[in-house]
Amino acid sequence: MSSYRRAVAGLFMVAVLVLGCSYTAGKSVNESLTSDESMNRTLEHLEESLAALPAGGRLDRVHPELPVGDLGYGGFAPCYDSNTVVEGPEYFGVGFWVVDGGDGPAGLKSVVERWTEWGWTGDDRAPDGDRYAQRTSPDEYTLTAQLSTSGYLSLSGSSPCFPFENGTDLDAQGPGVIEQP
Amino acid sequence: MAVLVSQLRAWTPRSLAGVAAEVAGINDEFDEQMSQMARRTDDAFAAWQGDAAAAAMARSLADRIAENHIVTAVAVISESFAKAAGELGAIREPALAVVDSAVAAGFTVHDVGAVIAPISSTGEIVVDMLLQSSFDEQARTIEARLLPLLAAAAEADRTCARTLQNALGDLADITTSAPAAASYGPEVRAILDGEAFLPDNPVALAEFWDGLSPAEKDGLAAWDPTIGNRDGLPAIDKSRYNQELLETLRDNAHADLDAIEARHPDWMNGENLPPTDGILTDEDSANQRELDRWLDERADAEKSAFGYDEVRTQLDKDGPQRLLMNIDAEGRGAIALGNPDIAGHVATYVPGTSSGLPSLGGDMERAEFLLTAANRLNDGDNAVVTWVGYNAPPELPDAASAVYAEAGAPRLDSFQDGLRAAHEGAPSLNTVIGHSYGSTVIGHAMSDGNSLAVDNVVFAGSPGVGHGVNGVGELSLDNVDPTSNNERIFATAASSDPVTWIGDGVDGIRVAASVFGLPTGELGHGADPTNPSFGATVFDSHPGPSVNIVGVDIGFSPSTHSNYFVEESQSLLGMAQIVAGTR
Repeated sequence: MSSYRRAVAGLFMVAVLVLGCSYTAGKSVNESLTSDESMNRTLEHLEESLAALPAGGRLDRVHPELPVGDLGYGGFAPCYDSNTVVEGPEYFGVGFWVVDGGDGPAGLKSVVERWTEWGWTGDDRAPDGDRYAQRTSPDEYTLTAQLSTSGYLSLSGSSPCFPFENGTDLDAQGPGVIEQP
Repeated sequence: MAVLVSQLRAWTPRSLAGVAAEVAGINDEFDEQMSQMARRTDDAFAAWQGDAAAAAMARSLADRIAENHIVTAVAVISESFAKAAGELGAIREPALAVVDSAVAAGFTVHDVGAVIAPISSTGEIVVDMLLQSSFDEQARTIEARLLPLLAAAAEADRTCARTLQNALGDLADITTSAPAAASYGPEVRAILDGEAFLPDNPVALAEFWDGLSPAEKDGLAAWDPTIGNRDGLPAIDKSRYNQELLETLRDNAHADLDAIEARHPDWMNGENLPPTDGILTDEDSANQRELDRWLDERADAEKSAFGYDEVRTQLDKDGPQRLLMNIDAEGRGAIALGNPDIAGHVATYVPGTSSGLPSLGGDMERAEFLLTAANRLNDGDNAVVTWVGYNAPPELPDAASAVYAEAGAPRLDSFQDGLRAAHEGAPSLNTVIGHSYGSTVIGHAMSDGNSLAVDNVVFAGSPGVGHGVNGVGELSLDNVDPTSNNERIFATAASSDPVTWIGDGVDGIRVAASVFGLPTGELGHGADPTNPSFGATVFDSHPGPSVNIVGVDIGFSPSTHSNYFVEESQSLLGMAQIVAGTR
């Protein structure tokens, strides 16, 4: 550990012990973004991704072939993990199974090609080999495609952060299903 | 067999409707009286504590359950009468209308429904023959309409009678059968009589509970309304009893808040506040002190009520099954997403400083993202418990103390034992994930002679997992060879998260303190678990932003401490892989 880090850590420890402090958002905060816009835009990106898959496919939090594989509805979550922050920035996130079309590596390849066409960029370091891909838009929306161990494809999306005061209904959840446009 | 016309005429459905209304009225009055009695009993129990009071309260609760059954059964009887009145009336009226119009037209209607035509006697043979033929035809038509109505009346009669008999029989069963307590086995009776105790050990409790009848379980729950917090009970039962307890806790918390606010209705409206400037009298100063106390009390009561309301909000959300694994009067609780008793992979997320019921919403979102990420990896079969079953440090300065971790560790240990004991089928792959101070709680639960019944441990953004704990060899997992701890204990830290530097930073403070001859005592929470010398398996987190001040990159950002559970982050994926067993 460098002496600089050690010194900073010591000072931070002192700050924690003596003063306390609060954490702010980790993801970038788009000051003009609202909660409605963050959810709608994320869902639009997912719907447009679905268009890259064969006709008849849909995004569904419930997969008919996976009886215990239900995903959550998604929703708004804090852009930070610390509970010491109250009313800090939030973001929208949600995940879906790809159902009735587009499963497997071919589906994953198709959506990633679509994202590349949009000009989205990704960290090519794939944490889970060729079963995972993530791309981010210039305005910091993120989409992820992932294959399960059995080859089922799922997509997820998340928005940049927005200020807490730009939120309207932060208990709102995702739609559960997205059909092809 | 059809109903006779004379019987049909004797029916008085309106009187049945009257009986139905009368029974319903008496039932309502009974219900109200019992409710009043219950309220007065509750008031009495509020001022009476002790074993005898507990036994009496249990009896009171059992009586209330029986009363509810009686009220329900009588309500069914009332409804049966009302339904009979409607159905019998619907048959009787058209049937008698047929009879009466036939008789008025000169036809004879026998009691069994046979219709006899009048005799035509005009004196004209041909006319009489034609008329008689017509009368006979009309008689057959009338009879053809009447007989089915009489048969339908008989069927309605039997149906209504059967319904009434069943309803009366149910009531008779409730009021004459032996009380549920009579069916209790000797072990349960001994507990209720104060001569024995429920097993403390989660494994023993799970075995004991498995052998109980539903009535015995309910009886024990009436005896101990907090029974759902006992580790070892099945998640479904825990949630059922804890949700009843939650309503009581919510009611009490709101009643406390109302009482505090009622003490000073003027202050609630911003009126008559004590002066804060000018020349203050002793009375002004005393009022100011009372105002300060009152504001503190009110803030605490508001926080408590909001916390229990938040639990209800989270339980009512759509999506994966939500089970209330714990809830208590100290503001602690735990909610499972998915049923941990049947899931093949079970994670327990332990949040850090300032966590509690009021901030449960954010922690539940983090848990749901983790569940979704794990399900996307292994097709499901996962459950994630958000465990705020300890009193977390309220503020960051409090997080320097180990007392919260020391107090929380045995509770976490017992909870994990309970998950194991209640699990059905093959053992699940269990993981505990501690964020920030939550990792310190976990560390205390598996060091200094303690051991956790889990397969994997994750420390995320950890300030250290226990004073003096400098490596995985000093941590213990049940039934795991310590030499393989490095494969079971994982850690992650964003490179610019200053909280994770604390473990090593403490050394710096010690060095500095020693220079000035200052005591350091048990400062800090031990070594950084992501330090290579600690020996944990380290996985990636996004490095996080580094704050740039006047053109100088200072190398860290306080905000980065807060990115580990963000959807689609490397750290969330890493944790999901560990939970799902795909790493």
